[in-house]
Formats: sequence, structure tokens, C-alpha cells
Amino acid sequence: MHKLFLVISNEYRVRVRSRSFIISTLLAPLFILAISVGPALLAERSSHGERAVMVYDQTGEKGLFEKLQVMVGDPQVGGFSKTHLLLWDGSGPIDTVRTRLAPQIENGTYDGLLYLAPTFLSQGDAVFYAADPGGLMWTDQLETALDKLVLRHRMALRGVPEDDLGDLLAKVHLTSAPIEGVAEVKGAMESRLIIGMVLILLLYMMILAYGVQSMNAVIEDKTSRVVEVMLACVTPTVLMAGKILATALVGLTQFAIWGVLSVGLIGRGPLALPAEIDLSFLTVGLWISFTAFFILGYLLFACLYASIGSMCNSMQDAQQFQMPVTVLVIVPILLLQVVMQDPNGTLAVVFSLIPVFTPIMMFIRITMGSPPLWQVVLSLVLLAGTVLFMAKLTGKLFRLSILSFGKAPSWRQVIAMLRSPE
Amino acid sequence: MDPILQLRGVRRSFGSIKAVDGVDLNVPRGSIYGILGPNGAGKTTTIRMILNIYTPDEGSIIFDGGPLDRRAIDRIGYLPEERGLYKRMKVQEHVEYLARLKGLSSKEAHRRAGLWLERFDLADRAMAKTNELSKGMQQKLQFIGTVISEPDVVVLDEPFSGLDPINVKLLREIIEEIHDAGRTVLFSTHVMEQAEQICDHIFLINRGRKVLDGKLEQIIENYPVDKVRVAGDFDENTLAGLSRVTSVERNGNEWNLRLEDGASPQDLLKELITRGKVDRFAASRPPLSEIFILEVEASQAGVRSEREMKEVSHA
Repeated sequence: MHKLFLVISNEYRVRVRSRSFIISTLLAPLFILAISVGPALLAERSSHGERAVMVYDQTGEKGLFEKLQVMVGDPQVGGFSKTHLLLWDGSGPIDTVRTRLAPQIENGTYDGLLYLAPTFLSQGDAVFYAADPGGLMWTDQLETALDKLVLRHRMALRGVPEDDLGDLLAKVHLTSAPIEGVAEVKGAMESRLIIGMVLILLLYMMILAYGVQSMNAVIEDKTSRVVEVMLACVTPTVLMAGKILATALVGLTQFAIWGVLSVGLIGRGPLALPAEIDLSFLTVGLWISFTAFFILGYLLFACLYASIGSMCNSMQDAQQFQMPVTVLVIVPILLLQVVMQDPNGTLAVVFSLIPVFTPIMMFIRITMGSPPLWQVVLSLVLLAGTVLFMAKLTGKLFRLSILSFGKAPSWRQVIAMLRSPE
Repeated sequence: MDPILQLRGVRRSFGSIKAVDGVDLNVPRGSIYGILGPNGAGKTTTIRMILNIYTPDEGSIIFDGGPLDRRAIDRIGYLPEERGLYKRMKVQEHVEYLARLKGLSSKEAHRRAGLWLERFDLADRAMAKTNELSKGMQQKLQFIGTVISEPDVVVLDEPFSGLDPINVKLLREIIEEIHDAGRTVLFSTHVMEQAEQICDHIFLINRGRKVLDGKLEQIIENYPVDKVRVAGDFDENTLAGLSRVTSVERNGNEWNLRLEDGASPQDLLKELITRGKVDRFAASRPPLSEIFILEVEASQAGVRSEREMKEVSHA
């Protein structure tokens, strides 16, 4: 026990003060920020600000263009959208107008030509001509505006007074609420989805990243050839356990730092959360289950990865063995959508009780719904049992292969090793 | 003889390869014990079993009259052939870590690390990372790691391979020092000349089996002084027909002669003087490398004749 403590504290100290730990601790939050806020910022930047669309209206309806301007939110009429509408002052077949305008659309003076056919109000036929019609995301905005425009026109034709239109077109809000207890406040479900997703991805990334790190820690000892010196001081089991546990502590340290950082930073200044984000579902129980699933999930995969490390002499050697293990980590993420929609469905229940999928799968179910307690307990028991079993197998594989410096064994040799008597 | 380490009928196979095939070995306390043999003879496997890195398939290992448990292994210092350091650790930290893993208190580990680093001129690099050291310095650090806990037995696997001459000298000093302190050194090598210079006991191993073991002096004394190197005013004709000489070979400016069993070098010298001018004359026993080859041949011949006899008896 004393030696295990020495190995853990040494591994931990060396790892935590390493440059890679400091960099990854600081960079990961930036990375998460970048992928969550980045795309929006990027989209904002890449569009050249304001857009101008020429409208050729052949419906002959008076005031239609002005109404469309309002619907689109044209800044000229006090709207806040970035789309300016201009009315084509002329007549004649659409093809003539297209030909006339083509050069200006090609050179970017106008972003497109919106053609409202004579039958637009009754049939709804309109065409948007652009230089590159495939890549226009914002035409959705135009379509919605046109949709509303036509709807209002038709309702007006049937004698609905203009003032009542707002009420008639009011949208439905469907909220879900638990059958017992207090109904959730508005936006609670959305917050739960968003924050739940963040936690699920975090759990997945931490299990994967630290699992691979424990493999690297083992390979490092082999490539530096320090392993035989170590084996003359400690048993292989102590060496392996020391590395796996130290890596777990490094992971928890990193997580604690992020926790402190987010409590300190989130909610302040530019990181202020929108008012509708509701943090009430982040209960102590949720954090406990997060930590429990992280530790058990990590231990399971760290065993798998560490035994790969013991058989290989370089990261390249490790590739072929690493792949199937990594797939096991990814599967629950691939099923994320399905499980989120039906957290207590057969698929979710079955997968969450298969130990290799339990950590992430059961955590998804816990964040997205409330699985029966017996299922949570059963999954934890099965997972803990599998961890113990794997630790034993890994120890054996580790002892048998830690001093082999030849080429990595084939799958068949690995199976033979596992079957061989000690 | 008071053995500190005994192997009894130890066997270890890897798959179908019998790396060590029934070895009995007694290492006397305070000796410098050499395990000698060609590459692949089973030296490293034997040594790894002594450190309990491999467990024997059969047989037993006794350390200081007791079992080879973790407590016993803490009393053995080990320098493997493939030796490395933790690159990201500091020099002092590394030495202390290894000392503490061998059971030293943190205070004692710190004190001794300081002394050893001082002695090997590494004190000013104590806070450097180990991968910032030159290769020679890294080797010194590995020596320190092996001996810092003052183990009763120091096991060195091919310790001289890859060392520069300065470190070869340093390592020989360390071995002498351990020997003078009454502690035991066990090392393996395939370079027979080294063993001849350093060891007092040897164990010759080939293909996992013992060829020969015992006190080096006694082993060599068993062989007659039958090799003679002569230089002087001689040629094929003047050296032809010498009495009791079995072979004559030219080797550059010298001649290598071999005497019959029991023939006296003195008589040969007298005869040579009558035939020409003798510049140099050296009579010797065969070197260890030759003894090894002779013994291996003899033991293989033995194995072969045993097998033949079995075949005959089967027929």
C-alpha cells in the first residue's frame, strides 16, 4: 500500500505540473466556448453585413411591397433585419428583367431578384433568382415573410378585420410537466437539454481523454525503458494501478479547476447566461451521479487502454487495438438523439444496462428523465463488477506483456495470453 | 560456503522456448559472481527471476535463507540491460523516488541522494530534468538508483554495454566498493574478458542450462598450461618437428603453439633456444572464452551421446 501511494503521488505530481496539463486545463474551456459561440460569431462575420434584394411585383396588388418590407423587417421601415428590399420600377416579362439585372446580381450590387408572379397571391408562386442559389440560408427568412404575407391577404379577402389578425395567428406553446410535483418553469426543459448535453459531452470527453492518457502513461514507461527498473521495486499490479489511479486524480483535479473557474466566471460580464437558462436541475444528486459514472467509466476504459499500452511499444502500435475500444466509448454518443427522445424506451434501458455503455448511457437517461432507481442501482452494480473483472484481466495482460519489446502481438496472441495459466 | 542466493531446479519457458531449463546456482555471500554466456543463453531470464519480475515455472529461489518475497527484493539493487529514466522528473527527485521505492524514509532518501549526486559531480544538475542530461550523466544516475538503498545484493545485467570508458571505470570502482563492504555483486555479461578480470565466481550458461560453475581460479587451474606464444627468429622449417607440440600456427609476427597434455613449457623453451633466437615466450592456460567453448562442446557431446544411447536402447 505504501508503494502504491508512492507511485500515485509521484505520477500525479509529475503529470499535474507538466506543460500539457496546464495547457489542456486552460485550453479546454476556451475550446468549449469556441465551439458553442464560435459558429454564430463566424456567421455574423462572413456575411458582408447588409443585403439588398430587388423585388419584381407583377401581382398588381397595391401596398403589397410595403407590407412585405414590414414582414421582412427592412431597416428602411424601421425593422432590424439586414435585408433591404427595393421595388423594380418597370414592367414586361420576367425573363427580360432577369437579363437586365443579371450583371448587377453577378457583381454583387444586388443579392438577388425576388419575382412575385401575377398569380402569387392565389397560387403562392414566387421565384428568387440569385448568383449562387444553392448556398443561401437566409432565403428561409424571405419565405417565412412571404408566407405570412399571403396568409394575411387571404384572410383579409374572407373578411377578417386587420386588427384581429395578430390574435388569430398567435402561436401555440406546448410545455411538458411532470405528473406529480411542481410544473417546471418556462424554459426549464430547454435549459435541461442544453446543460445536459454539455455534461454528457464532458463525461464522454473525459472518459476518452483520460482513458487514452493512462495508455500513454504505460507506453511512456516502455519507450523510456524505465519499466524494468520500476518492476524491480514494485509489482506490475502496483505499477499499473498507480498509473490508472493517478490519471483519475489528474482528471478530477482538472474537473475541479474547471468547476471553480465556471462558478467564478460564468454569469459575469460577457459570459452572462441568458435569463431564461434555468440551473435548478443541477442538483447535488446529479453531480454525484456524474462523478460516480466518470470514475467507474474511466476505470473500465482505463483498464482496457492500459492493457493496450502494456502490449505496445509506441503510439502507432497502439492504433489497431485502440480503435475497437474507442468505438465502445462512442456508441452511446451516436445513440444520444434516440435516447434523449425516449429516455425510458427499450433501447435506452437495454443499452444502459450493458456495462461498457452504462456510464454515458445511464447518465444521458438521468439528465433527460428519471429512470427507475432499481435500473440505476443495477447498472452501477453491473458496472462495478465489470470494472473489478477487467482490472483482474488487465493485471494479467500487463504482467505478461509489460516486458515484451518486440512487435505488438496479434489478437490471437492476446487471447492466448488471457487464456494461459499464470 | 554461505550462499546469499540460491536457485534450485529453476525452469522458465516462453511458449515452446525453454529460456531457462533447470538451473541450480549458489551465490556466495560477499562474492562477485558472474553469469556468463552468449546472447540468448538465458542470462536475462535468470536475472529477472531473481528479481521476481518473472516467476519460475518450476523450482525455487531462496534469498538469505528465506523466501524471495517483496521484503527480500527490497534488499536487491538492480540495473537492467534496458535501463531508462523518467524524462519529466528532476534528477534529485528521480534518485529519491527510487530510493523510497526500495523502502528508505523520505529524509534518508533525500540525504543519500545529495551525497551520491555530490560524489558523481551531478549536484549542480540536481534540479534539471533527467532528459536534459548527457547520456554519460544519465548512466551515472542509473548507477546511483541501483546502489542508493545500499542493497545486500547488487544485480547488474550486461552493465558495461553502452558505457563510455569513464563510466566503465566508475562502475568498476562501484563494484569494488560494494565488494570491499562485504556485499554481493551478481552480474551477467557475454564479454568473457571482463568477467575474467572482475569475478571471483562464475556460472557459465548456454541454451538455458548450466555448463560450468565455481570459483574462477579453480576452474582455470583445471586447464593445463598448454598455449604458448613465441616470437623470434623462426619459420615453418625451424618450428617443424618440435617434440610434444600438437599444432603450430602463424599469427602475424607471432607463432601460436599448442602443447600435448602434460608437456612442460620449460622443455619447449629449451628446445626452441637450440633452434633459434627467442625474443618472446609466453605460456598460458586457455582464456575463459576458450574454456567456455570447450565446455559447451563437451556438454553438447554429452547430451548427444546420451541421446544416442537412448535411441540404441529403444531399438
